[in-house]
Amino acid sequence: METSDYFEFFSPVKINSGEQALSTLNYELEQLHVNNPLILTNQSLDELKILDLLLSNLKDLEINQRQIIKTIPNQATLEVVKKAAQRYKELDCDGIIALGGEAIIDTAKGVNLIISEKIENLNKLTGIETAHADMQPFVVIPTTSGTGSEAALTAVINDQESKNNLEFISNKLMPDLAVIDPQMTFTLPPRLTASTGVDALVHAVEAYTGLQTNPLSDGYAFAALKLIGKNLKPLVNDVNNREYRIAMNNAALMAGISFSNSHAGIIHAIGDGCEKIAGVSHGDALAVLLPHGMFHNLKFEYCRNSYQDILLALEGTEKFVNTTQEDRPLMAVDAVVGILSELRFLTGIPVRLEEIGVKRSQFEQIVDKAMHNSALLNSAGQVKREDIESILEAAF
Amino acid sequence: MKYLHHLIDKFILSLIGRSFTILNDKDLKIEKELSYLPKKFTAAVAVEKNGPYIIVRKENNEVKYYGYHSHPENIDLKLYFKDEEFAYQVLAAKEGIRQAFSEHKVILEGDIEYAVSFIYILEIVEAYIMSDRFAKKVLNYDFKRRISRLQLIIKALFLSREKGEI
Repeated sequence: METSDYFEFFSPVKINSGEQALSTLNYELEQLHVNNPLILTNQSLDELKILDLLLSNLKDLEINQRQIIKTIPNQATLEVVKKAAQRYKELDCDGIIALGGEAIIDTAKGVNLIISEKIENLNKLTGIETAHADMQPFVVIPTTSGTGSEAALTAVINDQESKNNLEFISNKLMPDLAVIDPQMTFTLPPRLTASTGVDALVHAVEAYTGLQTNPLSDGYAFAALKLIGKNLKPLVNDVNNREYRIAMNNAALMAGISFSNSHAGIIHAIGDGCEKIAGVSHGDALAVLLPHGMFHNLKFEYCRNSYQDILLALEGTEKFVNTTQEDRPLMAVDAVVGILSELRFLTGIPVRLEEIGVKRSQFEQIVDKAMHNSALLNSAGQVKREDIESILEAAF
Repeated sequence: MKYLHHLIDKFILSLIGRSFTILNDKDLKIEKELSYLPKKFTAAVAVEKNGPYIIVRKENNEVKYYGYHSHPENIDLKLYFKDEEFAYQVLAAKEGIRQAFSEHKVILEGDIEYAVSFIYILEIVEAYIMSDRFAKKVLNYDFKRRISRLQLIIKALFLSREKGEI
């Protein structure tokens, strides 16, 4: 098994992160020549006054009610994307602001594709690097740290007619600006904070061990892991702590940049399979599968080398130096298991697939889905069905 | 040198398209992947975006080869490389298609799940055409040829392509 001596790295998103980041919006929108944005969000964020917070920071613009779509569902769908694109055209908007989590960001990416590519049917653009037009100005304000969607070149949009998830992978999907302000994620309860933190942890770990691992993405993944090792557990214990929250927001962002460039792998592929077949939560599935996927990758030499770095990032220098080189990869898995165990103790995150509702009778279908997930092509080794079966069995 | 690579690319791509047809009922893994693809699934493969593309189509669980087309229409999946040299690396067995995919060298237009299935088939077909050493490198299982390399190439060269509209 070999990694590559060729890589591509793309991270054009301007990032404004930290206290008062939201207050830079007026200036940034002016720089992007946006006067009439379409805002995508959902009802809960309105009820939690997060939308008000955004609007109070757009004081230079006159935003009317029709410019705000608050009905974005928990999964991006073609129907909603089309309606939002229609509204964009009707109101002659000149930019998109996505306020929310992954589904809202993916919806906004879909709208941007329809408007920029001047198409009616998004189906035509499924695939990898199929978009070529100049895109509309696009700002993302994430409200859940973990997904890294604000820095990701992917979007998944459900076609309810064919019941298929359409997958888009393109550099063009990247936003121009990501505003990461701790005020926007403060409302996350401990359980969700733990779950999104694990999501970021998986992104960073998989970025380190994918076939496209490269010095640049490694840098981001390492920095993300350091922040996660230091801040995730304290944040779950004290969800209103601004310092920990900012650190985890940054970790999620950096993990997103790293995995967007070196790709996800076997853990994501199986996690997606569980989500699609058993309808379980993505974050829960990843939390359960993470140690088992890491254990599987221990058989590859380059992964074992990468795991040494993971140990250093998560546990610090003293633990690293006091562990023999031979034991470091296994101790890295142990460090991850340690984080997950504590999070389970604190918030009850799951450790077994059965616990989250996956049934053994669904394994065959999950294996099929995972085998046809593009993340698997980037995973260490040429993953076989048996590999996935044994991970599922171990995690059950 | 570039022209030589161009000729090699074109020849191997055509050989791959023809071999799809010959191997579809000989290799169990290819059969399994084919069953994952929808009826009448049509794929076009080229060394670069502007083609020409070889066309293969699934018809009644068999694969038909439609030869080279410059501007194919009604295609479910288009697969091509960012640059002809990237294609050469794969088609001259210097690198596996999976590796090229993970290196962002491959562009896909169409459903990615089906594209993954197609890449698995492509990988096996290439393993049949190339040396055992290459097969061992790209396939992580005990690969057993169901037809010899020589037999496959001779059969492929004498295979007539399907005619008519795609």
